[in-house]
Amino acid sequence: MTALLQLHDLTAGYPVPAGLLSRDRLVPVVHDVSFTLEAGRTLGIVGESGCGKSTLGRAILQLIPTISGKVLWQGQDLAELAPEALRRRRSEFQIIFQDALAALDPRMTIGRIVGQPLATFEPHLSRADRHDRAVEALRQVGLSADFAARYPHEMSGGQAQRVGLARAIIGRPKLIVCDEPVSALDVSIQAQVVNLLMDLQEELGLALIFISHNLSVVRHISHEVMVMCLGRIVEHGPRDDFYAGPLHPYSRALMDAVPEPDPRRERGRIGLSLPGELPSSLDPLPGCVFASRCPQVEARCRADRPDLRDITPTRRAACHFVEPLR
Amino acid sequence: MTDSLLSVRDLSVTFRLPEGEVTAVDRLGFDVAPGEVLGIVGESGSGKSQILFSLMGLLAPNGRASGQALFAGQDLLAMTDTELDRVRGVSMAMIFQDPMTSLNPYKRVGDQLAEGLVVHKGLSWRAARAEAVRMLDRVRIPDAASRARRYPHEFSGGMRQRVMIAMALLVNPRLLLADEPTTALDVTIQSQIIDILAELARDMGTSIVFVTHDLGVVARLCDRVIVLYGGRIMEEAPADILFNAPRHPYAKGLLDTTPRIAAPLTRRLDIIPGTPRSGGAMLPGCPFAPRCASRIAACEAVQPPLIGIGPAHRTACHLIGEAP
Repeated sequence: MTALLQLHDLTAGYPVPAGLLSRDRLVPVVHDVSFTLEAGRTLGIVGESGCGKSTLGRAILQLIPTISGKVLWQGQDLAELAPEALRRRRSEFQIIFQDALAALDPRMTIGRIVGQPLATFEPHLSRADRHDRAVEALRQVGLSADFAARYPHEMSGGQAQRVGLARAIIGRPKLIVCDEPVSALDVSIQAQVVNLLMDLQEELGLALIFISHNLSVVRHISHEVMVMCLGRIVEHGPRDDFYAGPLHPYSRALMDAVPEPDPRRERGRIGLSLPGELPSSLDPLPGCVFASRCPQVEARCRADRPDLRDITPTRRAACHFVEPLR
Repeated sequence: MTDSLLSVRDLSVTFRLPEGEVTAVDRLGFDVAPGEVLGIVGESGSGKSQILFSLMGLLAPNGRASGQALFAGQDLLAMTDTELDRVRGVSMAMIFQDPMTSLNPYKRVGDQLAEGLVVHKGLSWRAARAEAVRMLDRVRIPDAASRARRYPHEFSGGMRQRVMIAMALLVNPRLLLADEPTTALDVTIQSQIIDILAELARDMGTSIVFVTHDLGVVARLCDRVIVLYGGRIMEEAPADILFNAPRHPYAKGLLDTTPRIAAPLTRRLDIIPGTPRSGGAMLPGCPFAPRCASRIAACEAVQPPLIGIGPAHRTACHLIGEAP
């Protein structure tokens, strides 16, 4: 069977103006990303600011240019689709954002906002049908029918995120890329939205790509976890294995830094922070992306970039010190 | 408490808005001992930041604070701006979530730090600059002497927050007010900043009031915690007690709803229904009542008083009786 989504050595980035007479140059931000995502599964992508996790989400959805490599959607190379065909295909893969309110047109009612994608995906629908579908989508995200007549400014942060989600599911997608969807929400609202995403996944058989800097939230929602650092995957594997014992020193550093609501555990960790900051992703060094901060660093880490290797049949890591199990 | 560095009583903060007066903080009282790190936890609209702004005399023009806030015996709320200036930036300092809003983009970082010493302590520029470099080094900015000659935009977010902390510490304050200083930072950088603040409290005896929405950060840094909701204290306790045996339904709910990295996974996260209170008039009863699963009729009618239920442990809930 063909996988829902497959990435083959995807390198993607942003165009920067190169001057008046020359073409814009594409600057890569994510490098050589490969993975497979099956239907109904959640891939959590974690990393610090500038690691390329949001860029990767946009590259998968063809919102930014691919530089090399392939994005296969149910076996179909998305780059080969004509713009119009890609536009219709978009009903199958959607995105929600951190700032949900900013993604809602302030002059449109919630009902129109949620129903709008159907104008592209199912143009034959009547206005009344479209409205009914919008109300149905709102109901699926836990908002009553009367929300359809309201405006974005009347929404709280959690409600705005639900509206974004209603708009994402109205075209009956198979995948939703969730780009930090709960990061701006209060913790009591964050839990409501995470639960809603998990319920919708079960109900609709959705696959999710859940991009977040919050390792605790990712643990809760994901089946598998991928860690990115300076535009590259450094580790990828099943959730439980990953949290029980991360392989890459960067994954370990990230996990150790997360403060847990448990004073006894936390007090012992004061003064143990990993020093330093990640270098800029704009002038990449030749070696391992984590070499400048890694407590285990050796000369070869600065010289040769470690490949992302299969460590077990289900786990991958990019570190010279993590040897494949035989 | 007689040995408090800061003693707040009946603190209310109100804002005049076109739709009427809104109460952000409602008759709050708490103490901070010398060298103590007090955490104030709350969601948006809880009033947590307004407490700090009112103490620093930094409320928005339509805001008004009433009550009493004795800092080393003097009432901060009764001071004129000139009197307050002798306290602010001398024995009391504040750091913010976004350091860039407090740094002048046109001035070298070292000079911005030195300025305070020249103005407040009468040092020469040469001595003040040397002191600034020493302090940048203390907050572990690598290569401090050359970094002091750079401009704020040349610093990363974590480095800017260190600069803010250095600036606050230069005058060796007795009290540091911290408003979500690590919220915008990556987790490994947040960890470094917490280390610096913890060291400060331990080695220099600086008291810290740390306002945040992040229970994990509180667990790492704070000795004592106040849980705030709708401008009122729901529960106040030493950190170990609050995290291991919370009593108030909101404090419990907040802890249960927080996803953890090292605890057994549940199928779904526990939730607190509804949304945090935002603006509007004060309710006659408990501000958390509309979202509380254990509420009884009295909760919506009568405000529960904050009562002692154990050593240094107070809570405001009709369902919890006073300690005998």
